[in-house]
Amino acid sequence: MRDVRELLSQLRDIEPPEGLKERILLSTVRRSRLYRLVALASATAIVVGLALGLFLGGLFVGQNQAQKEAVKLLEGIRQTSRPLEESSMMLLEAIVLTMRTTSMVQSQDEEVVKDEGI
Amino acid sequence: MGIGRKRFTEIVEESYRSIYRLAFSMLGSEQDACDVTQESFERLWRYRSKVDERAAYVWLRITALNLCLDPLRRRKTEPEPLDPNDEGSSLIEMRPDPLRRCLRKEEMLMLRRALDRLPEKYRAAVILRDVEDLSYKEISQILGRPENTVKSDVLRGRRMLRKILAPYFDV
Repeated sequence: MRDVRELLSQLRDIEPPEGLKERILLSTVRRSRLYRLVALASATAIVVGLALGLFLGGLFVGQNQAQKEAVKLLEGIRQTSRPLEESSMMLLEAIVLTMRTTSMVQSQDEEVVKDEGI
Repeated sequence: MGIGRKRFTEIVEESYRSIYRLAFSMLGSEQDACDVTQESFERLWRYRSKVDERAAYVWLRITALNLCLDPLRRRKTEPEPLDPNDEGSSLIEMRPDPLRRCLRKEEMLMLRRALDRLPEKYRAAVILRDVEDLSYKEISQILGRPENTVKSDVLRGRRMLRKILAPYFDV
Protein backbone atom coordinates (compact mmCIF):
# COMPACT_ATOMS: atom_id res chain seq x y z
CA MET A 1 0.00 0.00 0.00
CA ARG A 2 1.42 3.35 -1.04
CA ASP A 3 1.21 6.49 0.95
CA VAL A 4 -0.16 9.67 -0.64
CA ARG A 5 2.92 11.46 0.63
CA GLU A 6 5.12 9.03 -1.25
CA LEU A 7 3.17 9.65 -4.45
CA LEU A 8 3.35 13.39 -3.96
CA SER A 9 7.07 13.22 -3.35
CA GLN A 10 7.43 12.23 -7.02
CA LEU A 11 6.61 15.80 -7.84
CA ARG A 12 9.93 16.78 -6.29
CA ASP A 13 11.65 15.39 -9.38
CA ILE A 14 10.05 18.07 -11.52
CA GLU A 15 12.73 20.04 -13.26
CA PRO A 16 12.10 23.38 -14.92
CA PRO A 17 12.64 23.57 -18.67
CA GLU A 18 16.08 24.60 -19.85
CA GLY A 19 16.61 28.28 -20.17
CA LEU A 20 14.09 29.34 -17.51
CA LYS A 21 16.81 30.74 -15.27
CA GLU A 22 18.24 32.69 -18.19
CA ARG A 23 14.76 33.95 -19.03
CA ILE A 24 14.29 35.17 -15.44
CA LEU A 25 17.68 36.87 -15.29
CA LEU A 26 17.12 38.41 -18.69
CA SER A 27 13.82 39.92 -17.62
CA THR A 28 15.16 41.26 -14.31
CA VAL A 29 18.85 41.91 -13.64
CA ARG A 30 20.00 42.03 -17.26
CA ARG A 31 17.07 44.06 -18.50
CA SER A 32 17.73 46.57 -15.78
CA ARG A 33 21.40 46.63 -16.83
CA LEU A 34 20.26 47.21 -20.40
CA TYR A 35 17.96 50.01 -19.26
CA ARG A 36 20.86 51.50 -17.35
CA LEU A 37 23.02 51.38 -20.47
CA VAL A 38 20.28 52.95 -22.56
CA ALA A 39 19.78 55.66 -19.91
CA LEU A 40 23.53 56.32 -19.85
CA ALA A 41 23.66 56.51 -23.65
CA SER A 42 20.67 58.88 -23.68
CA ALA A 43 22.22 61.08 -20.98
CA THR A 44 25.50 61.18 -22.95
CA ALA A 45 23.61 62.06 -26.12
CA ILE A 46 21.76 64.85 -24.29
CA VAL A 47 24.99 66.24 -22.83
CA VAL A 48 26.74 66.10 -26.23
CA GLY A 49 23.69 67.68 -27.86
CA LEU A 50 23.61 70.46 -25.29
CA ALA A 51 27.33 71.11 -25.63
CA LEU A 52 27.05 71.17 -29.41
CA GLY A 53 24.04 73.45 -29.16
CA LEU A 54 25.88 75.80 -26.87
CA PHE A 55 28.93 75.79 -29.13
CA LEU A 56 26.92 76.41 -32.27
CA GLY A 57 24.82 78.96 -30.42
CA GLY A 58 28.03 80.72 -29.39
CA LEU A 59 29.19 80.69 -32.97
CA PHE A 60 25.85 82.05 -34.07
CA VAL A 61 25.98 84.79 -31.48
CA GLY A 62 29.54 85.61 -32.58
CA GLN A 63 28.43 85.67 -36.19
CA ASN A 64 25.55 87.96 -35.29
CA GLN A 65 27.87 90.27 -33.43
CA ALA A 66 30.29 90.37 -36.35
CA GLN A 67 27.40 91.12 -38.67
CA LYS A 68 26.25 93.93 -36.39
CA GLU A 69 29.75 95.32 -36.27
CA ALA A 70 30.02 95.21 -40.05
CA VAL A 71 26.72 97.05 -40.36
CA LYS A 72 27.98 99.67 -37.91
CA LEU A 73 31.21 100.02 -39.91
CA LEU A 74 29.31 100.44 -43.14
CA GLU A 75 27.12 103.04 -41.48
CA GLY A 76 30.25 104.79 -40.32
CA ILE A 77 31.76 104.71 -43.78
CA ARG A 78 28.53 105.93 -45.27
CA GLN A 79 28.41 108.79 -42.82
CA THR A 80 32.03 109.79 -43.48
CA SER A 81 31.58 109.49 -47.27
CA ARG A 82 28.66 111.94 -47.35
CA PRO A 83 30.79 115.03 -46.70
CA LEU A 84 33.29 113.66 -49.19
CA GLU A 85 30.54 113.37 -51.80
CA GLU A 86 29.38 116.93 -51.08
CA SER A 87 32.85 118.38 -51.37
CA SER A 88 33.54 116.51 -54.57
CA MET A 89 30.28 117.89 -56.00
CA MET A 90 31.35 121.34 -55.00
CA LEU A 91 34.67 120.76 -56.64
CA LEU A 92 32.99 119.57 -59.80
CA GLU A 93 30.69 122.58 -59.80
CA ALA A 94 33.67 124.85 -59.35
CA ILE A 95 35.47 123.16 -62.23
CA VAL A 96 32.39 123.47 -64.48
CA LEU A 97 32.01 127.16 -63.53
CA THR A 98 35.63 127.87 -64.28
CA MET A 99 35.35 126.13 -67.62
CA ARG A 100 32.25 128.19 -68.48
CA THR A 101 33.84 131.50 -67.58
CA THR A 102 36.94 130.58 -69.54
CA SER A 103 34.92 129.82 -72.65
CA MET A 104 32.92 133.06 -72.26
CA VAL A 105 36.10 135.19 -72.00
CA GLN A 106 37.52 133.39 -75.06
CA SER A 107 34.40 134.13 -77.20
CA GLN A 108 34.39 137.81 -76.15
CA ASP A 109 38.03 138.17 -77.25
CA GLU A 110 37.20 136.65 -80.63
CA GLU A 111 34.35 139.15 -81.18
CA VAL A 112 36.64 142.10 -80.33
CA VAL A 113 39.20 140.84 -82.85
CA LYS A 114 36.46 140.61 -85.55
CA ASP A 115 35.15 144.17 -84.84
CA GLU A 116 38.57 145.74 -85.02
CA GLY A 117 39.20 143.97 -88.29
CA ILE A 118 42.25 142.24 -87.22
CA MET B 1 16.49 45.54 4.12
CA GLY B 2 16.60 45.38 0.36
CA ILE B 3 18.18 42.94 -2.04
CA GLY B 4 21.19 43.79 -4.15
CA ARG B 5 21.82 42.65 -7.72
CA LYS B 6 24.28 39.95 -6.67
CA ARG B 7 22.04 38.60 -3.93
CA PHE B 8 19.07 38.60 -6.27
CA THR B 9 20.99 36.48 -8.78
CA GLU B 10 21.85 34.06 -5.96
CA ILE B 11 18.20 33.88 -4.89
CA VAL B 12 17.21 33.10 -8.49
CA GLU B 13 19.79 30.33 -8.69
CA GLU B 14 18.80 28.87 -5.33
CA SER B 15 15.05 28.98 -5.65
CA TYR B 16 13.84 29.09 -9.25
CA ARG B 17 13.52 25.30 -9.30
CA SER B 18 11.33 25.17 -6.19
CA ILE B 19 9.17 28.08 -7.36
CA TYR B 20 8.71 26.35 -10.71
CA ARG B 21 7.92 23.06 -8.95
CA LEU B 22 5.34 24.80 -6.76
CA ALA B 23 3.73 26.51 -9.75
CA PHE B 24 3.78 23.33 -11.80
CA SER B 25 2.24 21.31 -8.96
CA MET B 26 -0.48 23.91 -8.56
CA LEU B 27 -1.20 24.40 -12.26
CA GLY B 28 -0.01 21.28 -14.06
CA SER B 29 1.03 23.23 -17.13
CA GLU B 30 4.65 23.82 -18.04
CA GLN B 31 3.87 27.07 -19.84
CA ASP B 32 1.78 28.52 -17.00
CA ALA B 33 4.36 27.38 -14.43
CA CYS B 34 7.15 29.12 -16.38
CA ASP B 35 5.09 32.31 -16.62
CA VAL B 36 4.26 32.28 -12.92
CA THR B 37 7.90 31.62 -11.97
CA GLN B 38 9.16 34.43 -14.17
CA GLU B 39 6.50 36.86 -12.96
CA SER B 40 7.26 36.03 -9.30
CA PHE B 41 10.94 36.89 -9.75
CA GLU B 42 10.10 39.98 -11.77
CA ARG B 43 7.95 41.18 -8.88
CA LEU B 44 10.69 40.43 -6.38
CA TRP B 45 13.09 42.45 -8.54
CA ARG B 46 10.59 45.31 -8.74
CA TYR B 47 10.08 45.39 -4.97
CA ARG B 48 13.65 44.40 -4.02
CA SER B 49 14.17 47.56 -2.01
CA LYS B 50 11.12 46.80 0.15
CA VAL B 51 11.55 43.06 0.64
CA ASP B 52 13.71 41.80 3.48
CA GLU B 53 16.42 39.49 2.18
CA ARG B 54 15.60 36.85 4.82
CA ALA B 55 11.92 36.90 3.87
CA ALA B 56 12.60 36.67 0.13
CA TYR B 57 11.87 32.95 -0.13
CA VAL B 58 8.58 33.19 1.73
CA TRP B 59 7.70 36.30 -0.27
CA LEU B 60 8.41 34.47 -3.54
CA ARG B 61 6.22 31.52 -2.58
CA ILE B 62 3.34 33.77 -1.50
CA THR B 63 3.61 35.69 -4.78
CA ALA B 64 3.81 32.50 -6.84
CA LEU B 65 0.75 31.04 -5.08
CA ASN B 66 -1.21 34.25 -5.62
CA LEU B 67 -0.18 34.29 -9.27
CA CYS B 68 -1.36 30.69 -9.62
CA LEU B 69 -4.86 31.80 -8.67
CA ASP B 70 -5.40 33.69 -11.94
CA PRO B 71 -4.85 30.73 -14.29
CA LEU B 72 -6.83 28.53 -11.88
CA ARG B 73 -9.80 30.90 -11.94
CA ARG B 74 -9.57 31.14 -15.72
CA ARG B 75 -9.70 27.38 -15.93
CA LYS B 76 -12.82 27.27 -13.81
CA THR B 77 -14.63 29.35 -16.40
CA GLU B 78 -13.00 27.84 -19.51
CA PRO B 79 -11.81 24.32 -18.75
CA GLU B 80 -8.62 23.56 -20.67
CA PRO B 81 -8.28 20.29 -22.50
CA LEU B 82 -5.60 18.17 -20.89
CA ASP B 83 -2.46 18.14 -23.00
CA PRO B 84 -0.61 14.86 -22.52
CA ASN B 85 2.53 16.33 -24.08
CA ASP B 86 2.58 19.13 -21.59
CA GLU B 87 1.70 17.35 -18.35
CA GLY B 88 4.81 16.14 -16.64
CA SER B 89 6.84 16.58 -19.78
CA SER B 90 9.71 17.96 -17.74
CA LEU B 91 10.03 14.59 -16.06
CA ILE B 92 10.68 12.68 -19.24
CA GLU B 93 14.38 13.41 -19.22
CA MET B 94 14.69 12.03 -15.69
CA ARG B 95 14.07 8.38 -16.62
CA PRO B 96 15.94 6.76 -19.44
CA ASP B 97 13.90 3.53 -19.35
CA PRO B 98 10.91 4.01 -21.77
CA LEU B 99 8.48 1.74 -19.83
CA ARG B 100 9.25 3.37 -16.51
CA ARG B 101 9.03 6.71 -18.22
CA CYS B 102 5.55 5.92 -19.49
CA LEU B 103 4.36 4.61 -16.14
CA ARG B 104 5.77 7.59 -14.36
CA LYS B 105 4.14 9.95 -16.78
CA GLU B 106 0.82 8.19 -16.25
CA GLU B 107 1.22 8.45 -12.49
CA MET B 108 2.05 12.10 -12.81
CA LEU B 109 -1.04 12.69 -14.91
CA MET B 110 -3.24 11.00 -12.32
CA LEU B 111 -1.59 12.89 -9.52
CA ARG B 112 -1.98 16.18 -11.34
CA ARG B 113 -5.62 15.52 -12.06
CA ALA B 114 -6.19 14.56 -8.45
CA LEU B 115 -4.50 17.74 -7.24
CA ASP B 116 -6.64 19.78 -9.62
CA ARG B 117 -9.71 18.40 -7.92
CA LEU B 118 -8.62 19.60 -4.49
CA PRO B 119 -9.91 22.96 -3.24
CA GLU B 120 -7.18 25.62 -3.63
CA LYS B 121 -6.42 26.02 0.07
CA TYR B 122 -5.95 22.27 0.59
CA ARG B 123 -3.94 21.95 -2.60
CA ALA B 124 -1.52 24.70 -1.61
CA ALA B 125 -1.13 23.29 1.90
CA VAL B 126 -0.50 19.73 0.67
CA ILE B 127 1.98 20.84 -2.03
CA LEU B 128 3.92 23.05 0.36
CA ARG B 129 4.10 20.26 2.93
CA ASP B 130 4.55 17.11 0.85
CA VAL B 131 6.24 18.41 -2.28
CA GLU B 132 8.18 21.40 -1.01
CA ASP B 133 8.79 19.73 2.36
CA LEU B 134 8.28 22.94 4.32
CA SER B 135 7.54 23.04 8.02
CA TYR B 136 4.03 23.88 9.26
CA LYS B 137 5.40 27.13 10.63
CA GLU B 138 6.73 28.16 7.21
CA ILE B 139 3.49 27.12 5.52
CA SER B 140 1.44 29.12 7.99
CA GLN B 141 3.63 32.16 7.18
CA ILE B 142 3.15 31.67 3.45
CA LEU B 143 -0.58 30.99 3.54
CA GLY B 144 -1.25 33.50 6.31
CA ARG B 145 -3.20 30.96 8.34
CA PRO B 146 -2.61 29.60 11.88
CA GLU B 147 -0.38 26.55 12.15
CA ASN B 148 -3.19 24.33 13.45
CA THR B 149 -5.44 25.30 10.56
CA VAL B 150 -2.60 24.47 8.16
CA LYS B 151 -2.15 21.07 9.82
CA SER B 152 -5.82 20.24 9.47
CA ASP B 153 -5.81 21.54 5.84
CA VAL B 154 -2.91 19.23 5.01
CA LEU B 155 -4.63 16.26 6.63
CA ARG B 156 -7.92 16.97 4.87
CA GLY B 157 -6.12 17.49 1.58
CA ARG B 158 -4.29 14.18 1.91
CA ARG B 159 -7.52 12.40 2.81
CA MET B 160 -9.28 13.83 -0.22
CA LEU B 161 -6.36 12.89 -2.46
CA ARG B 162 -6.41 9.36 -1.12
CA LYS B 163 -10.08 9.11 -1.99
CA ILE B 164 -9.54 10.47 -5.49
CA LEU B 165 -6.52 8.27 -6.18
CA ALA B 166 -7.92 5.09 -4.63
CA PRO B 167 -9.34 3.69 -7.91
CA TYR B 168 -5.95 4.06 -9.65
CA PHE B 169 -3.38 3.44 -6.94
CA ASP B 170 -3.09 1.18 -3.96
CA VAL B 171 -3.28 4.01 -1.47
